[in-house]
Amino acid sequence: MNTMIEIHALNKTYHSKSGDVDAVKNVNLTICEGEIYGVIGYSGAGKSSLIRCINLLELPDSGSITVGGEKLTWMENDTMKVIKNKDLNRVRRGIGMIFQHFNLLDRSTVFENIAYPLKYMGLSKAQIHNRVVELLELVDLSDKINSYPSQLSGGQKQRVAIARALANNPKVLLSDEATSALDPDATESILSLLKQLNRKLGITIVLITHEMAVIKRVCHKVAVMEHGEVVEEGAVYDIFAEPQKEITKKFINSASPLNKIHSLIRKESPLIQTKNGGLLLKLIFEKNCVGDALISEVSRKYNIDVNIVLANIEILKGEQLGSVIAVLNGSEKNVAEATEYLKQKGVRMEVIEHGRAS
Amino acid sequence: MAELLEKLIPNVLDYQDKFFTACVATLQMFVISGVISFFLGLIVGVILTVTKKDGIAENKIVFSIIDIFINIFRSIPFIILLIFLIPFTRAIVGTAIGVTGAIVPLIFGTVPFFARQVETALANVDPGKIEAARSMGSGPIALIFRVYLHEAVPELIRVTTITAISLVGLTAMAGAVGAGGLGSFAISYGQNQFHQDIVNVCVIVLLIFVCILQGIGSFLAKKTTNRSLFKKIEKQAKITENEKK
Repeated sequence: MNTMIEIHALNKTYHSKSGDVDAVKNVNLTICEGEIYGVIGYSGAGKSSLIRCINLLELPDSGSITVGGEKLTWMENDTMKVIKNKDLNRVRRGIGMIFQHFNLLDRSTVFENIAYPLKYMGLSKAQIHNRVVELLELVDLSDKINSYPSQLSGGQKQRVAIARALANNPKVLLSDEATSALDPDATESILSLLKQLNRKLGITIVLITHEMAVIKRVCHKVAVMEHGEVVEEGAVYDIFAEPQKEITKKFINSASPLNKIHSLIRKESPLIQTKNGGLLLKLIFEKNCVGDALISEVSRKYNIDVNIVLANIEILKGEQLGSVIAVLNGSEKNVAEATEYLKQKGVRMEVIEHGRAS
Repeated sequence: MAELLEKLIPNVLDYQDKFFTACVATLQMFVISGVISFFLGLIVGVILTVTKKDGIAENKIVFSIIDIFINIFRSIPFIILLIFLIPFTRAIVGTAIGVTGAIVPLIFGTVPFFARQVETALANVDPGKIEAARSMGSGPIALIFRVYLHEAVPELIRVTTITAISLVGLTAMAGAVGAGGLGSFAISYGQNQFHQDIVNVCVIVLLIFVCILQGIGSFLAKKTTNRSLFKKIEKQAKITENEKK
């Protein structure tokens, strides 16, 4: 796949009276054409600054940024060179952007808002009109062409913003927390629209969010940011299956029904009582073993009781990822053999609690 | 009718010609200095907005110079500014009296006030809209005309109304230093000759003028805000809802 966005050794520091803040610290990213690339992090992690560097709404302090083969910034003898303003404005027309608060012109109709980027581009009135109608069909909002933004719902406003961002047929769409101000229904419809646009137009999408559910729903790849740095990066399935960093695990747990286990442990629920020699386990079934009936198999084979407390199957990009929290009770030897067998079958596991003699 | 007027405002009728000339002079001062101040103030206000910190064409030197000038001229009381500017006025328009002589100080009195108001109006434009327009490849000129000024129209109309009304007050004050107009008419023919009816009529005329300005301003501001449009639609929705019931 061709590279669409290449970021190398990017740094951005904000200077303020209360001290310097490293918003972006030595970030390297490669985003391929046609990908939906998610960046997740808590607020203040620098994801917003990072996405704004991609179209130079924020000027980085150092580092190189290349979008669609055009160099926006590059390093020469340790100093950063920046693209000329005139060229930058041309490049920006090839990069659409949508925002958390939509940022539509309130005194303009839906038509005028979408026509904004098309004006002064050498198009005739009829051409502009046709393009706007086409874009409104694409975002399924044709009946609102003469409405004002104040007459639209949040989801509809974001659709108008998407249509406006797509007006000049950009190759890249940047989404800055585009669903964070929306209710769950509108979020779902906007996310499926983004997915559909990615499929239909082959547009590369970079989206930042603080919700793992958004990443899970639409992204192919994800980068996790903390304190300005990308701490973990990879295909969404791999990150979900095998998160390395604590913060990544936290984000994944936040989107998983399995995180109820923590409240069960806190309440010392009888559901998770382990007997002496038993184990409270988290088992992760990746795509290679998710279909097998392994749990009943070990139960029969090693004569142990398996009590499933919580279970969940994620379908990420069409691949399944199963996770189960279960109590294994039996003799210490049998339990050990059983877990060994599961490991051999490719099940990953985390011991949450060892059984105590009670 | 004529009798009634004769009874109520005898002196105004005696000085009818002077009264009309005064009205025309006030109108002239208002329109000429108003139009010039509007454009100058708008330009200065826009420059302040774009050159300030984190503005679209940040420039500390330009901003500071304009900022200081505005503060200086705004802190001088207008009556003193009138006298202070006499040599300057004479140097550029040849006279310091009459309508012509009044226009220069009126501009100096109005532009700084209006520029600040414009700055405030433009500061109310959501920075997110500017950011969105930048992301679509708009340069500074497009940002000024297509976003800042476009989105701030109702607010600009409101501040223009306020400035216009205060300009009416200034034209009357300019009368004190021989500018002519209703101000000097009220002083020299009313106050100085103990003709209270002349003062009263001048007050009424100015009052009517200010009311008209305010009315036009409010009407236009309302017309150009889509919020009022939205309310109308809401009302309609409520009516249809009630009909259903």
